[in-house]
Amino acid sequence: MPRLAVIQFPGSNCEYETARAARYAGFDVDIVRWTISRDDFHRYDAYILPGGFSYQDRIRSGAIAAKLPVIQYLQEADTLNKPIMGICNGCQILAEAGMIPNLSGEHKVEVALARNIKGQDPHGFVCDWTYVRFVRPEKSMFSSFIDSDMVFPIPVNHGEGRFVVPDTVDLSQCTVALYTDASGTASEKYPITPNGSAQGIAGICNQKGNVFALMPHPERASLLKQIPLWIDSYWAYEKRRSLRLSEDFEGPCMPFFKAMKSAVLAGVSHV
Amino acid sequence: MSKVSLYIYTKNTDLHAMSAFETIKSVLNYPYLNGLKRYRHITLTFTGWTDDEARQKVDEFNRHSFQLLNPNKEAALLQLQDALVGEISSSDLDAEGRLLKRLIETAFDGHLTEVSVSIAWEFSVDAHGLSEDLLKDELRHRIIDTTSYTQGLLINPIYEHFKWQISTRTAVG
Repeated sequence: MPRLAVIQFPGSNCEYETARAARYAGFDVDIVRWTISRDDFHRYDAYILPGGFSYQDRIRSGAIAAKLPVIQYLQEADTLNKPIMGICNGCQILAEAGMIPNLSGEHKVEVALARNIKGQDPHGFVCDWTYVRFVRPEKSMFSSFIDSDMVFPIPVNHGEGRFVVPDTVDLSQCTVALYTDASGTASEKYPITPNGSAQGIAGICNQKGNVFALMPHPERASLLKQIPLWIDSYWAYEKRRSLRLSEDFEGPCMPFFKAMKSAVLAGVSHV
Repeated sequence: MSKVSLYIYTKNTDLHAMSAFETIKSVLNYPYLNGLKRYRHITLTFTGWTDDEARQKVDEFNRHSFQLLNPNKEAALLQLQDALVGEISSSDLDAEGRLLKRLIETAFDGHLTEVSVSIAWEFSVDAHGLSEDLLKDELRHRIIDTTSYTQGLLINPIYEHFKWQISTRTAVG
């Protein structure tokens, strides 16, 4: 069974539900600490940086965690094309560490996550359900199984989730997740994009397709029972149908975790 | 036109500054930093008042409002002297300034014309034989502008801007 490490930082708070989603997808999962040794770290086949508030978001969210030795190990794993997913705070850490979109191939900081805005005003913390759709899904090992018109309901919980992408950064060769309405129409405008993110970006994959950083929480939409009944989605209808049954059915975002496993079993040869 | 500058700091341990200092010393391995302080710098611009009048009005405002600073845990300096200070600005902080102005302007009877917010970092550094300009360049490169895993921490140059304060003298050595 492939082994996956969920990397716990001081202040992480989504590691257990993330581990559960990865376990359901078929991984042998360990929650490992940020102090893990290089040898122990490289025993794993895939990695997830979970959500939370590492180091209390001091200086900027993800800024301090991105300087730890474990990030160097993660960059080494990236060069071996192992699948790496960063969720919410994990996404912020990957951006601060220069692991997305990594167009230079040298792990230089190319995009940033700034504080949420609504129009021109500060918008504070957002906690809501959103919808995302993937552009160029075939370029990432996490989304190569989906069509670009598929819409995923997924929750967001963050205060610093606004992607800032300089004009010089060309994402045209990367998989990008966009905030959309329930029908899949993307817009940068609030409330479709809840945080003022540039181009309505919710997540970015690196150019090689093995590192995926996403501000919304796929682990909180990985099982059908996590989907609220009020959202405008096929998945809410499915949940209504399944209410009589006690089984755990897969939710809309479980395939991302399963895709990580498939990539490992296929020898991580997406690139 | 008159301006009142407030450098607001926490009376207790500033966890942002403490973590930044520890990270710079022990992870970025920059040995010449001896101290680091962080201030929230608010500049209030008034029209129709002298500098003294404006300062008096701000003092009065701070006595009955926590909107600029909370005296239970914060205090303010009017200027930073004999220090190497750099300021961070960003569109986020600009937006915060505009919001703050909307919240407090009625208390100043229409005299308040602008509020700007920035973050000021005060560095205590061993110059290790470098001139002031070279030292500033080294600080920018090693600990300020975040460009990669090994370089920079205090700002993310993708959306934040950093500039050295012109009016301060360097305290090094």
